[in-house]
Amino acid sequence: MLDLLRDGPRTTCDLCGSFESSRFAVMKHLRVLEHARLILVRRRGRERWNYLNPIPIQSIYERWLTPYAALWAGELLDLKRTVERREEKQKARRDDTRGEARTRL
Amino acid sequence: MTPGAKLEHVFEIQIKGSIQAVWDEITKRGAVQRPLMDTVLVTDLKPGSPFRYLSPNGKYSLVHGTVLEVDPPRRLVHTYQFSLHHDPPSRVTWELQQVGPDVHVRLVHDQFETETKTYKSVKGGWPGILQNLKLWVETGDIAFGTKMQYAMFRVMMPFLPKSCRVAADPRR
Repeated sequence: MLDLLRDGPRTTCDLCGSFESSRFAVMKHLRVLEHARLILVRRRGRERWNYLNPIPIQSIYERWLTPYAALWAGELLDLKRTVERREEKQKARRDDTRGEARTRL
Repeated sequence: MTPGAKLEHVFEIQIKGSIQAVWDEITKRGAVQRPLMDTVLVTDLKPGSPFRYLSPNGKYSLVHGTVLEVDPPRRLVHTYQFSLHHDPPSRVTWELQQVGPDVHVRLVHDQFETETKTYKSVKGGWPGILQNLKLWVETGDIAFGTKMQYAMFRVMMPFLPKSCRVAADPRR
């Protein structure tokens, strides 16, 4: 939900339409996020517009990650991405060779 | 983005303290506002009057605009133009609300017609300013990283373009 709001504000109606879960479930999530001040709501006429409030996320980041820890966390994330990409490539190659073997038969 | 979405930014932060303390800080004049990029606010806070954030030495204008609405200690509305960019004026609304021991500070920056340089630059700018406002009111200091940024900024100031010089355009 927050990912969607990162690109800009959305109406509650629009948000409900973006998920497969029931409108009730989406509203419940919205309420929790609003309570945590991660989402700010403004009413315009009959519409409820939801905005992402980045400040609590930034505060948590600054509270828990010293610059040093952030560096290491970043390195580990890079490692994760590199390994995962390599495995994906290997899998694709395996699938390819299997396909070739089959055509040869 | 939902079709029909307006280009505007909305931020909120909770500050422990009194609404008056926060109001006094955002309307402080005659001395630098440490959280607000170390600028000096120059205005008489009357609707229709100029509203400017100047460099500490008063030689450079960083932001200029006009006061639209003042309702102490709850609401301050003014237009906003970066002196560095040539974007049309946008609008800033400060809304303060005391909720128990906290002040809820909501900042709305709207009336952008397109995704201007101002629109893009304040998106990342306001969260830092609001976090420093919180630090300043609660602890009397701002973040170390921000101080380094200010030091850099002071060194760069003489290289600002002519449009930012108050002497070149006293309205700014």
